[in-house]
Amino acid sequence: MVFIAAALLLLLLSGLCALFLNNRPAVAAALCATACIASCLAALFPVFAVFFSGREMSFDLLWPAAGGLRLFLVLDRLSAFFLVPVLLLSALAALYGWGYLRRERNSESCGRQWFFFNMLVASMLAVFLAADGLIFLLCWEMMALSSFFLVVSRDEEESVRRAGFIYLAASHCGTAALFVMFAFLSAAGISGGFWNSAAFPGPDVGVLRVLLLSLGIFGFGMKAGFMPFHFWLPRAHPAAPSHVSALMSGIMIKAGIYGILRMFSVAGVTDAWCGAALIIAGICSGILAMLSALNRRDTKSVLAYSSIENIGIICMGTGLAVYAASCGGTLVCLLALSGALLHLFNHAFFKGLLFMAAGAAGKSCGSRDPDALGGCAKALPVTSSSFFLGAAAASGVPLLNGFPGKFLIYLAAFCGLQLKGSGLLLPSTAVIVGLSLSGCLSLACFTGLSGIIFLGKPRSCAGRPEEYSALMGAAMISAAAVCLFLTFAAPLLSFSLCGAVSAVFASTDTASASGLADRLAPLSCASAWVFVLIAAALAAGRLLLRRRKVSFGETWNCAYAAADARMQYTSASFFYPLSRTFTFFNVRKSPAAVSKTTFFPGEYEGYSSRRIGVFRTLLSGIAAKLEFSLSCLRWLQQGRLHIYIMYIMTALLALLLWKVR
Amino acid sequence: MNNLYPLFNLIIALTAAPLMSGVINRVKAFFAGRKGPPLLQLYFDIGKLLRKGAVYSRTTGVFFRLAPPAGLVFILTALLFIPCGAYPAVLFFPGDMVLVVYLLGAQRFCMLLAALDTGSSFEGMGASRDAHFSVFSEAVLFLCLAAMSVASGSVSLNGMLFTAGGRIWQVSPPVLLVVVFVLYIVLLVENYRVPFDDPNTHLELTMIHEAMALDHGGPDIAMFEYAAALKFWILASLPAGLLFPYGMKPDFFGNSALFLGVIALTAALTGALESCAARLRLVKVPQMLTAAAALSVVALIFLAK
Repeated sequence: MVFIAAALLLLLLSGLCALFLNNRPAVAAALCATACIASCLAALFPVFAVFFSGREMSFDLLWPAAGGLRLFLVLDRLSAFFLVPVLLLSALAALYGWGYLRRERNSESCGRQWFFFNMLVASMLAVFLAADGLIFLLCWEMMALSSFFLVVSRDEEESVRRAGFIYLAASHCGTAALFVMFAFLSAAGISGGFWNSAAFPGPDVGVLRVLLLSLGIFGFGMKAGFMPFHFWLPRAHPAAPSHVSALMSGIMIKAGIYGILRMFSVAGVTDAWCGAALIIAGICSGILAMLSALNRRDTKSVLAYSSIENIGIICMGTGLAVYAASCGGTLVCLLALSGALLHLFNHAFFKGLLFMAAGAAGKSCGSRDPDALGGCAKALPVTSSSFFLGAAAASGVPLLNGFPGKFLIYLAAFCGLQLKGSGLLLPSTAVIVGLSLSGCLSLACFTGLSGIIFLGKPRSCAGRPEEYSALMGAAMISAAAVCLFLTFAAPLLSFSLCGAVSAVFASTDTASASGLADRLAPLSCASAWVFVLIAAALAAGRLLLRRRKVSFGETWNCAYAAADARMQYTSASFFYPLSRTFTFFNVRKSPAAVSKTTFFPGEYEGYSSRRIGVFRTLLSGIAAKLEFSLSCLRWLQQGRLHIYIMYIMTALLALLLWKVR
Repeated sequence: MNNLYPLFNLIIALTAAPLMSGVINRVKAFFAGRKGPPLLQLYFDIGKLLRKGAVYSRTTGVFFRLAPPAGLVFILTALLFIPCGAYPAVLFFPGDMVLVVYLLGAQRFCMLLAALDTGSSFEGMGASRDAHFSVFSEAVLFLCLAAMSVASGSVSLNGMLFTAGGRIWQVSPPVLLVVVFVLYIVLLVENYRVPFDDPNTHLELTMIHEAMALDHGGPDIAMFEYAAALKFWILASLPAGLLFPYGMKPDFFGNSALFLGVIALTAALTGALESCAARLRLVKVPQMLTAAAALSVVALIFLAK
């Protein structure tokens, strides 16, 4: 715990220093980035110790001077499992951010950005450790606020301010629900921190339990961003700088999943409806998010939707585990939850890598619209190979780390099909279909996206792009190496996976760790085998062509020799068949009528739009209804300070009278 | 010796797979009243292509070179998990069917990127259509696997097709026939056959699979063709494995001959279908596949009862 305290202190101090170094951006960046990397590496020592040994550490300090604040931090197996990606990815993002912000024109905000970045890392570190309700909520709020300030770092743009506002509002709605939940829990009067099961109403207290669980799923789900709580994600991620979106998408949204799992570990799992709700939310997120991702004109927006999809996959696994636990499928539960956790772990790295590569490509080429790019793979070798690696992982190519987690969830669902008469048939089938549909859609989406951005010929002739910064390259290479390592290391993770699962569902035993490793080992062997074989096949191909004539020419275009770059397939044309099939979801307005009488129609303006705003219309509908029905109370809101002070006085007096009574 | 049988079966699959293309073409020629190409035509083609040089487009990069060998390796790896008649697969583990389907997906990933690497709009078109159809076909394949898993009580391909043996037919034969039918539809769409794609089309605009290989030449195209033949073998093995007569326990050679016969029958059926049916309009393909998905859901419900 000393290392973690030192790391937190270092993060806070370096952040504060950066605030005073606003006019020396280079110094601030170097200081904060090195401090962040150093503190992440320092904190990794205790985290890895718990990760591999499973022995808990805790730190308990009652601080009467601060209103009875109890600094109660526990590093157990579940926290350690989440903290490994937090620390590793934060270090990589800091390295990347150092290069990313270096050539930023608007250098005044640099110190501020680094302050909030380090605050974000520190608060994430603390969120996963906090075992006391008050501390947890404090860190949770700090995490939301620091990431909000990072999202609005380019606040001169209207769309960024709007994205920031939506993010802040969504985040506070979630936190409000959490406040209510924690208030209920602390009213039960607990001494051993709020993560103890005595406080949660048991299954016999029906209504209160359902209310608390729903509040928790709502509050934590708002952070996790599965549907229908996803609407802030595709706005906030493109607005934020790339290293921040990598961190937010890789780690911060997982804090929501962490909260849900903690809640289940406290509440016990007897509620099949929670599992069903999570499975439905997961399937909707998995499929609908990928459908929304097609045709986006902004790479980072596509990646944000893909994050929603992956959170959906994690939700499906978690939901299946909860459902199976409530109807007695222990093996299914273990497999499904460890699959969800493994996917969460892996997703942090490949999504971080994708955001970094997308940001680097955007910086190098000056645009993030896929249809304006093209053919930059040769000019940007590091960026493009990182993006391809991330895209392959996100599409579930078995060679990479996006696959093992999905595999375990599939296996859990197939095992669930075998338990006849347990009620697992429907959820298992739904999970299988949801996983395969979302997997295929993300394969289509990522092949199209990466192909359009990096392959073919350049669509705009703005000159040959160059790699933006060596530091960013180093961060991307390290992240890619972690992704590759995790492909083969999946069986090694099984001990900590089982530990994390047993921290949530006490009924699963740690002895099943070797069983889990046995299930994952074939995948790693297959990956290694495929890698070796591909290398051999490539070498054989080279050998075959060694003495033969190899010539170069133009791409075949039906004997048309003057094809130019604008004739290539664009992302709009690539995704047209898919979005056309799903018109019920995706209405496209046809462009304004073009005259068909002339052979060479002149310029015309057309537009296409989409009807994704199911939730947007739903939300604004609810908001409008609420506003209307509450308008009769408007006279209370006078907008004058003394009247509000009077309200406070009255409320306090009323409370006092109620207490004295 | 018994442990070596799966390896022999693998060798049979590797050598006999290109034969199926010959069978299909001969059946089609028979229907058209022509003599048709020799049964071994694809072997001659592959042999000739392997002896040729190569022409690369200047637009292309690493992916274009990587895709043919990588795709072939993915398919070869998937083949290791496919049981052959009354003999088990070379490798098996719980959940291997998921790996097989995702290996096929990985091969698609390579093909699509290689197609986009050329910068040709025809190849982009083929890639776009392939990506479109695959979304449906993979979900249908997973539903069939779920139905087979429920009927056989096993979570590995080996258990579904080989170990469960005749047991799988004791649950509900007519419903299992529906699964066989749906698997056959998946075979057609995944191998780009009529009514989903026409391998004989001569117009780049209408191609799907062939469009993605327009710019490849020499050994690359040989690898593409061979991978396509192996993919046909893999996907034909699933319905063939279900239909395989388990009542008798043939010896090794009898088993291999019988299995080869069942797969050749599947190929002949494909050829006959190709001669009698027209290609579906592109917009109708998802509807057809959705209907197949609905059929497999119904089968799953009946089998789970």
